[in-house]
Amino acid sequence: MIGKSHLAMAAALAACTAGIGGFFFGNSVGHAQEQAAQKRADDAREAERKKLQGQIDAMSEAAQTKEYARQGNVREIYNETQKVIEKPVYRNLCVDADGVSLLDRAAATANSEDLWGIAGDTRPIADSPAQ
Amino acid sequence: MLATPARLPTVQRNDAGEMAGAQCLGSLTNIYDVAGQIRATLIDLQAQARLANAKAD
Repeated sequence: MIGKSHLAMAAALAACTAGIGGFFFGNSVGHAQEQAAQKRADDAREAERKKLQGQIDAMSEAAQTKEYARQGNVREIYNETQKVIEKPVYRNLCVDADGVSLLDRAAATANSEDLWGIAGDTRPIADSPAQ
Repeated sequence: MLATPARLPTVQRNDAGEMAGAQCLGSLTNIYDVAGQIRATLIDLQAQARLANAKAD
């Protein structure tokens, strides 16, 4: 017949089973909570990124509008320049060939270009970058 | 915005390689045009960088 020891064993077994079941249940609940928290954090990050991108896009659009306005002003200045330079005073020489060479060097330097071949470059022919 | 900036133009000159007033005025206008374009790009980039940095803090 079923003795006390059997009952005790059955109770212990039931307790173990309940414990193991509880462990897995708790584990699964914890995992689900962790996943939910991760998703919330990901969603918040994505929303922040989208907001920032929206602000940058709006700024780019505003910059583009300003650039169009600037180009319009430049065109106007160019057209007026063509009229102004018809005056005789604009035929006077203001920079000779040496000065123009200096300006070419200044432009090449500003553009981070090699000065080879520009007047004022004192490097020997052997140092030509073309060779 | 991240495109390579325009090259600065060389100055205009006549056939003798010299600049008269007309070429000076035209060249300065061209240089101011490119400088303005580069400046506008820089200002916009700085604003975007400030925004991105403020969000990162």
